[in-house]
Amino acid sequence: MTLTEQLYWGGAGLIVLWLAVFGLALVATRNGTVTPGPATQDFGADPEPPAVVSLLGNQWRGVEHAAAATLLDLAARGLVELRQPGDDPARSTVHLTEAGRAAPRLMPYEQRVLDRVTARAANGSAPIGAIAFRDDERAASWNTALRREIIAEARLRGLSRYRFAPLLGSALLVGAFVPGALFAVAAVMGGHGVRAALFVGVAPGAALAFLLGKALGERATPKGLERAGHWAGLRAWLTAHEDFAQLPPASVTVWDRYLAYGTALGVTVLTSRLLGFDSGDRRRVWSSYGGTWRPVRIRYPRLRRLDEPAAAVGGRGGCGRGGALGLRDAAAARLGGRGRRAQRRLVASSGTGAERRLGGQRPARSCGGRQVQPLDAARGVPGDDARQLRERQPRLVQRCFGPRGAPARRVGGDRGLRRAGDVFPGTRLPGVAGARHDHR
Amino acid sequence: MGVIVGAIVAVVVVAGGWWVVRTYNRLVRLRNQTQASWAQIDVQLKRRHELIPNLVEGARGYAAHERGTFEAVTAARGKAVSGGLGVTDRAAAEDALTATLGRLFALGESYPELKADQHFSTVQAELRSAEDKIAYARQFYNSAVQSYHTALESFPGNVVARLGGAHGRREYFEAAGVAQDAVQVRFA
Repeated sequence: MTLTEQLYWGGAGLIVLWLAVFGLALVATRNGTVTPGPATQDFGADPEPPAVVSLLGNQWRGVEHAAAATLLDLAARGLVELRQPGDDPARSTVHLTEAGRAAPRLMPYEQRVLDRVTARAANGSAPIGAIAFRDDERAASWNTALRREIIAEARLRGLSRYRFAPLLGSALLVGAFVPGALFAVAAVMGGHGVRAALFVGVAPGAALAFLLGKALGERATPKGLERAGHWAGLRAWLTAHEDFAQLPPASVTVWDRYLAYGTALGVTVLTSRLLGFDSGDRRRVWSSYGGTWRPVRIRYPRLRRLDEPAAAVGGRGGCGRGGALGLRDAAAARLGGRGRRAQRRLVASSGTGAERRLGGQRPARSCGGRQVQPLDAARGVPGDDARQLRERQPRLVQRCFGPRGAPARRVGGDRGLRRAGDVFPGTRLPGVAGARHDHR
Repeated sequence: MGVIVGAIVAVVVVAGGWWVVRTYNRLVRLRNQTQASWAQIDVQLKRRHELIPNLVEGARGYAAHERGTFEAVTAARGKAVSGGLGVTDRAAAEDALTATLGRLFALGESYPELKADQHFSTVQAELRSAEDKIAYARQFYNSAVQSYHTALESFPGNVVARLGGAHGRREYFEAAGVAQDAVQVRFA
């Protein structure tokens, strides 16, 4: 056997060895079994916050409904108030209280939830549906940060720990790239090119590191398992009360922290569904345009007709000259003389890329003494910022983007339409297949 | 033909039997839940009853001449712990005890030394905690009774309950007397 072959076989052997060690580490660090305690209504002495209970109740895998549970906990403590004006729990509203405005030092995840509510309830109240994010990425990053804060709290309380000890994790990570190094050397010695050597050197390491990354996470401590058993007892107690699952969020005034813990443990189905801190329903959103919150239904075009007349895009007057919200179509208009294929290529291309190119040709314009990037106003800023811009400087927005009912303002793509809706709720968004906002 | 009819009849009988069993089991589960909820109330009430003598003894040292209050508390406690009371009577006795306890707590305002007493404060805090738990236990119990009654009175629960027997209504643990009186507001 040549040295090259020995290196290949050695690398393969190391991969097998790494997988065996990794498997053993997985077995050794798996979560212990939670032994449910007797069904009880007692929280116990020094109960963990509902957000941490959510981590325990989800077997340390996630913190589903932790944000909703925290909001209910804040309500139970009087920092916010949940009211249900009619029969429909979905129309419940969240109100800031004096205690909430002057809240003492809260835990980071509690502060995060309170800040979110405060941001949405700028005038003192907001529908619970308005708490949801309108942007997937923002919702994801917000929830990731929340999860991190909750895990930190759980670790402080001695309920959770890293799955792998730092030494073991580092050793596995370094070890994942050793076989690749052997393959790379063997490839070079075998006369293969540098590219091939790099590929066989990096690919196995990347695959093993991916496996390692998937397995990283939290695991229970003995104390955590004990507390999880206690909370399993509370879950059993709450589950046995059939009506508890259908309690609305406003019932927190009666059930206090039980509703928060029920939500954290996944018992209160209705409340968990209504108090969403995710990206929410993209077709039914809440709009505060005009100063009053109301539900808005958004319809998105299913198909894009490429021969949509570019004239429908242009804004009238104002600063946008063509309308920043119609960049794709403006691009299509410019290419109008170059044939359908060119249009299709640009329109079908990534909106971001096309608009970035166009953005370079459209400098910021001075509107009311302020430099406004059409691209930013339309698409480069999160929906909430666009809303703030509209609320703070409605005239500016109107000058830049035209009055309500201005023709054909499309950003391109569902997300763009949604953001256009932030700026212009009630505006007809003809688009191609008749996207529009309907106010109910 | 006969086989098909027989199969249909068998399916109907099996489905009907399954339906009856399922409904009956749900009734049993709900009935047991009311009993478990009542047991939780009982636990909390006993805890409260155990704390009261400590509170009375602690207060007696500072306000010996408030004999009437102590006797009222002792009498109300005695009535509450006496066995054989139904849910409604028990609720009334506990409400009376709560009212007399309020008078006992008020002594703390009149006697600063009593209010400053660590033991008295600790027992008072424990009693308040026990009362909170009783309130929640009462909510759970009433919620369980409501679910049970709804299942018992709606179809098909009412049919199955009649067939199965031993499914009677439960009493709600309701606040009575003082707690239900209208609040009098007077403007000076």
